[in-house]
Amino acid sequence: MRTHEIGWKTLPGRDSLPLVAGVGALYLLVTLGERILSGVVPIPTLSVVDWTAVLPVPVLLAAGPAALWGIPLGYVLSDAATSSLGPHTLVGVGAHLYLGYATCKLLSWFDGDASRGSVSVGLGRFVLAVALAAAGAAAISGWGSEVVHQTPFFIAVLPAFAEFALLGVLFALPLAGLFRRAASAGTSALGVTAAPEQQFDGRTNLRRVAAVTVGWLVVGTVASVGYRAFEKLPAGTFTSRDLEFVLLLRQPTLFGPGAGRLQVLLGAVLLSVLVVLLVWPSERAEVSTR
Amino acid sequence: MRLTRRQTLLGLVGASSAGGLSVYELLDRTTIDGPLSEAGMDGLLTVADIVHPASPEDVEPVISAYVGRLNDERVRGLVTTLSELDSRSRRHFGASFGALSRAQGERLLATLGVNRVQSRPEGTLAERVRYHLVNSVLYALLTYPTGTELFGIGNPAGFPGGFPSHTEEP
Repeated sequence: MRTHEIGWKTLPGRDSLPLVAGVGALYLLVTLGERILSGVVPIPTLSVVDWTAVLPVPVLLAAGPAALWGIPLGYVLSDAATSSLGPHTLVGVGAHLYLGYATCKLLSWFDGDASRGSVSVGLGRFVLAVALAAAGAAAISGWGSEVVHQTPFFIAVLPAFAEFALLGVLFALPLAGLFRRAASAGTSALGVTAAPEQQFDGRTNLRRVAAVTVGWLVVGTVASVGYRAFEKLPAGTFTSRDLEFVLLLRQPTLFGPGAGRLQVLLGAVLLSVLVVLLVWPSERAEVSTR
Repeated sequence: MRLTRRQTLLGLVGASSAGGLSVYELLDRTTIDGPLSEAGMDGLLTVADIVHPASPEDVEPVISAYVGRLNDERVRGLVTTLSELDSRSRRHFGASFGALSRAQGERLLATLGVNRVQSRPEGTLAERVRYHLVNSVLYALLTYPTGTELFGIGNPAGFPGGFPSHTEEP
């Protein structure tokens, strides 16, 4: 069985510290700019949009590993600047890191057969990669919201997906002209497009990531809505149909309010699976080049 | 350290499950003690402005009297919920919840999903906002003539004003 070296390969060197600080400053700039702008144009709908969601994809494509440190730094700085530092900051950091990293990784898997693609196909793949990464980031956001007791999974997921996907695609697309150069700089630095010893069948990995992501969104939402509805249904609904055994599942002290504990465990397992699929693609998907 | 893919996955599942559940339990027990501050009362008035058409000057004494009658546990839940809501408000609008306009407050509550969750004293922030803030404010106002006269009800259920209304001149 193949083994993997778990090391801090992405620790920033001294020369990349300005890049880390630059990414952090960019986050701070967007947050403070948003504050100032919302003072001038007081539209509540725009104020509740987290505009920093624009940054992870282009920043990771352009800055590579430095962004893996710059994003947490920037997110913490922007939360500190708005006096809203708290446990949910970690949730935001996780979602942003996933969005940027997963986009890079998925794009690199698309690169396997990119040579025969046209510009429109390339853009389509880019949109698909961002959407898939945004779905994963939204699931992380929903899971984190349950962990820190902020909002139920089903409430957090849809707006988070819309925010990540729309902002990611819309604001990264203007960079399309620079995209090829930025992508090669960033993803190569991350080691995700460098010619590997083995060639991976990107489609298999893509299908697995897509299946786990969509599965998480569907199961998480159904469980979140379903258990809350189940808690409120009168017992007579079940007893009149000889389904008393279903009531055994109504255990708020065991599962937590709204089955929060189950949601936390489900998210922990699926997040781990996603991380392993992205960072260590399956051996079975490997196609030897030799 | 050399790990197989399966070992890595199991390690990650174990660590994230344990970490996630620890944070979940820890935050479930985190409450803030202390009386309701002036900023907290502003927060309740913002909620009242969102959920009820009465003017803030009329509403304040009713809510203040209602909060004064709550037991320690309810006040603790209310203060903790307001504190968390303030944090969200500062993130989105750069001001505490009590300082928001009606439209901003309404937008923030809708973003949290307060209009789509069930009321629950312990649960997510949205569920607690619905229980401790929205429903409490509505209860206080709709059991007092100040809150019901706008709807043509001068002696609402729960208000001990029945005797005078029957004995005094119309």
